[in-house]
Amino acid sequence: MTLENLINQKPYEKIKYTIRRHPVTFFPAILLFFVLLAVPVGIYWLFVNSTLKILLENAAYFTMITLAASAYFLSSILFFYTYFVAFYLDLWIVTNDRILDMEQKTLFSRTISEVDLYQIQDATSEVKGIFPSIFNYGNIILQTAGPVPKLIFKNVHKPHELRQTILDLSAEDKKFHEQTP
Amino acid sequence: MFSIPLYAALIIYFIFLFIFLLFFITNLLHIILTGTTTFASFIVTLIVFVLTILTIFITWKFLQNTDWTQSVTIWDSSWLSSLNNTIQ
Repeated sequence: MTLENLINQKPYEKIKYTIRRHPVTFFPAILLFFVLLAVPVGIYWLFVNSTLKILLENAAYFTMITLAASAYFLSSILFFYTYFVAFYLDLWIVTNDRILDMEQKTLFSRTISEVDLYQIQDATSEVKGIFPSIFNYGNIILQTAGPVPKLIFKNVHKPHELRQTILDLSAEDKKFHEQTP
Repeated sequence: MFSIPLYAALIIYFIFLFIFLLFFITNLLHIILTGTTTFASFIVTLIVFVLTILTIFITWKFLQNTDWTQSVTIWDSSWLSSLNNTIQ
């Protein structure tokens, strides 16, 4: 399936931006993944250097420990993949007509909100903290007159520039709606 | 003393693998059905797939000569008494 099909793109509509969270904000998950992978290595080292070493020498216990370690590694891999999917499927699509906010909260929870550009009343962009300032990412908060009163773009790259672009597109759409009765 | 046959652990492991597979496919379907089949999602899926195969392969390598019919003691009350003796 393509994004055009997903958003039911109208004939006159063009996708201007497809925005995801800044890749730097995924870094803590990668770090946690490596820590999780290193934990069994530490536990193995403790086993080898203690009286529990006899457990590894018993064939039956060795089998049980190997199966448990394998299940642990696979769980860590699955956790990483699920986190990546939740991260990567958080998506904002800006077209010349509307903004779509697709939020993947958990593996089985997805929210899609839609706002017409001409309904945007106010836009705020913020960059808070050391890492956001270094890597230039932050939030954009849009106030609208539509059924979705507030739309938040979380941890997007170049929020100040993007806010201005959205305001320009909104102004164009307002002009279009004023001209067509 | 409470013992179980070793193949019981293998059955539990296979049940775990089945649940793992279900979640993996669910994640993959999410990526495909939401139109996010990009280079980044392909690379991450490939890494996850390779790591999974590698983990299962190494597990199989370690356990290929295991006698699954032998039993393993998972609880023995003598362990507690020996622990008490150690503390005293």
